[in-house]
Amino acid sequence: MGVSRRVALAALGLGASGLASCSAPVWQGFGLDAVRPAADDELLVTLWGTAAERRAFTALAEGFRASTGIPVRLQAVPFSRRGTTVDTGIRAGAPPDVFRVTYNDVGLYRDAGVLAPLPDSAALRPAFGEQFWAAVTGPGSDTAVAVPHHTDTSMLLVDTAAAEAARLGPLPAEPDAAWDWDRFLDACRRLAALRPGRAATAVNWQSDGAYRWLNWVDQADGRLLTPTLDGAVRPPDDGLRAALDLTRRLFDEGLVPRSTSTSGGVTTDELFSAGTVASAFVGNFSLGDLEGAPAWTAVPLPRAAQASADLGGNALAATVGPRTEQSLAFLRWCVTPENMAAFCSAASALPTRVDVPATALRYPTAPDAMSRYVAQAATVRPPLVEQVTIPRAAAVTAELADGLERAFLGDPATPTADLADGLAAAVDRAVRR
Amino acid sequence: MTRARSGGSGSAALHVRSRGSGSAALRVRVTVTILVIVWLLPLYWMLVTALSAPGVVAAGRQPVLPDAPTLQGVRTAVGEFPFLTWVANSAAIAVVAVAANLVMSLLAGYALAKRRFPGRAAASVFVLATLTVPAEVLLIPQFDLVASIGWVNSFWAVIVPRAADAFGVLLARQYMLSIPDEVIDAARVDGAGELRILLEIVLPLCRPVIAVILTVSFMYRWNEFAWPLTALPDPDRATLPVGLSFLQGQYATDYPTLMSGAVLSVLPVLVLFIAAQRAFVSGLGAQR
Amino acid sequence: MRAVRAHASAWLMLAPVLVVVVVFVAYPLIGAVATSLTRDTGLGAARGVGLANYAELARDPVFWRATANTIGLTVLLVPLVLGSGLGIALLLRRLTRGRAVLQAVFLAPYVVSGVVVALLGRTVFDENVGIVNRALRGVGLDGVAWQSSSGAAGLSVLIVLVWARSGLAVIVYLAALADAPRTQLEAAALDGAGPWDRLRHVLLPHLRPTTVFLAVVVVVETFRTFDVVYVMTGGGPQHATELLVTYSYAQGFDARAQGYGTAIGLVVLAVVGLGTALWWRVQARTEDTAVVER
Repeated sequence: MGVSRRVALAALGLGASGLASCSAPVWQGFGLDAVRPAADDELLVTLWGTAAERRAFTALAEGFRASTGIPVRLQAVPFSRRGTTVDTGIRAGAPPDVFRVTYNDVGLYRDAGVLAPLPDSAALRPAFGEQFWAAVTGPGSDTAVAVPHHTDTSMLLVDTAAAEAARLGPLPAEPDAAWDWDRFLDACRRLAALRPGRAATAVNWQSDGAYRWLNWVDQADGRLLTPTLDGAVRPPDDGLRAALDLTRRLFDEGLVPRSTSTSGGVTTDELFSAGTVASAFVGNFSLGDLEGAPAWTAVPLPRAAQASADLGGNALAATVGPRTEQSLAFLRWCVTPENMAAFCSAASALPTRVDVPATALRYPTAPDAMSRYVAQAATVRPPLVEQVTIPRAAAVTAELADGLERAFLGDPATPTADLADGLAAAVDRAVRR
Repeated sequence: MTRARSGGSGSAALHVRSRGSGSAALRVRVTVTILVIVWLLPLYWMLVTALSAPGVVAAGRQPVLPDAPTLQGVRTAVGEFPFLTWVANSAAIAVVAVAANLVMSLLAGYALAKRRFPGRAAASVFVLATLTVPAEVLLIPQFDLVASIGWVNSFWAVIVPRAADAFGVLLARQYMLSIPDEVIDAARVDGAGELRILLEIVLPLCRPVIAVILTVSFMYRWNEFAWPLTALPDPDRATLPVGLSFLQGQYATDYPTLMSGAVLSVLPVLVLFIAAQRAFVSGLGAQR
Repeated sequence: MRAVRAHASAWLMLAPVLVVVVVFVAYPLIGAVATSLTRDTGLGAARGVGLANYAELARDPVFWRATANTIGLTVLLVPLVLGSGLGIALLLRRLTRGRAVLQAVFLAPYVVSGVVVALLGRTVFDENVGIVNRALRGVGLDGVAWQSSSGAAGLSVLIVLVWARSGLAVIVYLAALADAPRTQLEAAALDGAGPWDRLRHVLLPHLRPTTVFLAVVVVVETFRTFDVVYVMTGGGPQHATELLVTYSYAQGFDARAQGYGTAIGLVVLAVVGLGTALWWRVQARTEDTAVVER
C-alpha cells in the first residue's frame, strides 16, 4: 500500500503539473510567461489600422528607437478589439505603455485615471488645432492626457462616370459649395435609377461609426446632447428629427444597401470598390484601400443650415506605469511637425498641428482628393466635438447605433418623431448611467 | 454496455436492410448523394473562395469552378498577422491541455466508477454538476481570477481552468463502469495498489475511451473561442479561432483572406479527425 | 486503517479535478454573484448597487429579445438537428458500403471550430456577393437580405447551426440503430407494418433514451452558442440574432457594464442548471435500468 500511495502522489503531481510548474523557467520563451518582466524597457504600443497606417507606425517606432535607443513593440489589433485589449490589460495590471485611442474614447480612460498627464501641456498647446486639443484635455482642464495624433473626416466619393451618366452636373469641390440635402437626395435618386440592383450610396456609420450620423444633426443645427452635456435634448430638437427623417429615407427609398445600417459588417470603401454602390461616404484613411474602384471624385458632405464634418482620427495616450517617462517621450516624438507630416502622408491622414505646412504633406495616393479632405476637416465644429468626446461617448455611440438601426431597418410606418423620442431617451439614460 | 455498443456498428447489425426492390436501394443512394453534396458544398466553397482573387469575390463574379486560382488570400492571412504564431499557440495549448485533461479525467473517472468511499455520490454530483456550468457565463469572474494570479496573456489561463472537463470525466466514468468489478476485486485481493490497478489493469482495457478523450478534448481545445478571446487579448498570444476573428475584424468582407485562414485552421483538426475517426465515432456513438 | 487509506487515495485521485473545479468554477461563481450586484466598468472601482442590475434586466427589451431568441433557437434547433440526424442515420443504415466515409462527411462540420463555421456562414450568406443570393438571383429571384432583415438573419444562423451540429446526432443515432430490436422489427414487417409504422412503433421507442440524451446535448450546446453568432452576425441586425451569452459578453466587455453582463450570465446559468438537474435525474434512472439489465 505504501508503494501505491507514493505512485499515486507522483501521478497526481503529473496531473497537476499544469498548476505546479507555471513559473518554471523551461516554459519561458515558449509563450507561457504571462506578463513581461518590468525591467524590460521595451514600450508596448497597442494600435489598430490599415496596412498603410501600421507601416507608418512601424516607421515612427523605428525612428524613435534610432533616436532614443528605446525599443518599441507594436501590438496591432482589429479596430473592434481595441477597447477589450486595452481594458483587459488595465484590469490585469499590465496595460500597454502607449495606445492609440479614438477621440470618443479619451474621456472614458481619463475618467478612469489610467492616463499619464503631459506635464508640458501648456507648451504643446499652441501648436495644435483648438478642437483637437479640447478633445484630449476635457472640459475644465488645461492638462492633456493624450496627444492629438491626426484627424480624419469623411467625404462623399462619387463614381465619376456614374455622375455623368446621371447628369448630376458639375460636382462641388469646396464645403461652401456643397449640395444641400435636397440636392443630395436628388443626386442619390438619379444614381440609383442608373442601374437596378446598384444602390446610390452607402454611409460610413458602421463599426462604432454611429457618431458620424451626428454630422447630419449638426448640419441642420440640431444637438443630441444638452449644452451642459449631462443628458440628451428632450424632446429632440428639429435638427435631430430632420436628420433622422432624411437618413431613414435613404433606407426606405432603397438608396443605400440595407446591409449598410449601423451594425452592418461591411465597410463603405469595400462596397464602393466592388461597384455595389455608385457613391460612398468614405474616410480619408481608406483612400489607399480603393483597389479596383472606378474613377471617382471626392465631393464635400451635404450641408443644410451649415456644413459640418465628423471628428475622426485618433490620439495617442500613455498609461501610468513603470515606463511612463519613456511613453510620454514617444508621444512627443510622434507629434513633432516632421513626424506628423510623415505619418499623415504615409497613412492618408490629416494633421492636427496648425504648423504642418501643406507642402510637407506628400500624399502618395489621391493627393488632390486629400487636399479636399483638408478643406472638409476645417468644417469640424466645436459644438459637435464636445458632444462626441464626453466620457460616456462610447455608450452614447452604442445607443445611437441601436436607435438608428431601429429607424433604418424597422417598420417604415413608425413616425420619425417616435423614433427620435426613443433615441433621445436611450441616449439620455446612457449619459446619466 | 457502452463498450459493447462502441464496436457494434459493423455490418452484422444491419439486419433490416432494404429487402425491397432495387429501385428503393437506388432511391436511398440518390438521396444520400444529394445530402452529401449539400453537406460538402460549404466546405468546397470555403476552398474555392480561399483560392480566388479578392476583387473578383467582392464584385460577386467569383466562378463556381476556380478558373484562376491565386494564393493572394493565403498571403494576406499569413503575412499581415502572426498567423503561424497562432498555429503554434494553439498547438502548444492543445497538447498540454489535452494531456492534463486525459490524466485528470482517467483518475477522476476511476475514482467515481470503481472506488467505494464515503462521499462518492456527493462528489459525483458536485463535480459533474459544476463541470456542466457553461464556461461562457463565467467569463468575467474567471477573467478577474486569472488576472489576480497574473495569468492574463499566459497559456496557463487557458490550459488550467479547462484541465477538468465534464466530457472527459463523464466518458471515463461511463466507460469504466462497464469493466467488471470482479477483475478489479481480484487484483485488490492480490494486494495490488489502486494506482497499479488503474495503470496495469484498467487502462489497458480503456484504450478506446482514451482515444475518444484525446480526440474530443483536442477538438474542444483547438476550437475554443470565448475564453481564449477573453484571457489572451494580446494578438501574439492568440489561438487560431481568436486570430481568425481578428482577421475578420480587419478584413470584414475580404472573403478570400478569411477563407484562407479558415482552411489553414481546420486542416490540423480534420487530419486528426480522419486519423482517429473510428475511435471518435464509436466514442460519440457510445454517449447516450 | 486500511479503509481510511483507501478512502484517502480515492480522494487523491479526485483531487486534481476537484481543485480545478473549486478554484476555477465554484469560486468564480461566487464572484459572479457578487459582481452582478455592482456597477463595474472594469476600469475604475466597482460600486455596489444591490439588485439594480436584475431590476434593469426585467425592463431591458434587448434582454427579453435575447431570451426569446435563445429559447426560440433551442425550440427550433432540437427537432431540426434530431430530425435531420435521425433521417440521415436511417438512410446510412441501409447502405452496405462506404459508411465510414459518409459518417466522416456529416461529422466534419461538427469538428471544425464555431468561428470557422461562422466565417463560412458569412461568406455563403453575404447578401451582396454571397453564393446563396447569387444563386437566387441567377434563377430570377430577389436576393434575401440575410444581414439586414431580422427574420432572414435568424434563418441564416439556424441553417448554419443545423449544418454544423447534425453530425453528432447522425453518429449517435446510427450507433443506437445498430442494436435495434431485430425480432420486433421483423415481426412488425410480417404483420404488414410499413416503414413509417415500424419507425413510429418500434424504432422510436427503442431510440427514446438516445433522443433524450441528444435533446439535452443540443439544448445545452444551444444555450452556449457564442462563437457562431458573435462572429457571423454580431447579434444583429437590431438584436435579431442576439442570444443571452452574446448579449452578456457585449454588455460585460464591449459596453463595459460588467455587473450587468454578469447578471445576464447568471440567468443563463440558472436555466442551464435547471436543465442539467433534470438530465441528471433522467440519466440516473436510465443508468439504474441499465445496471439491472446487465
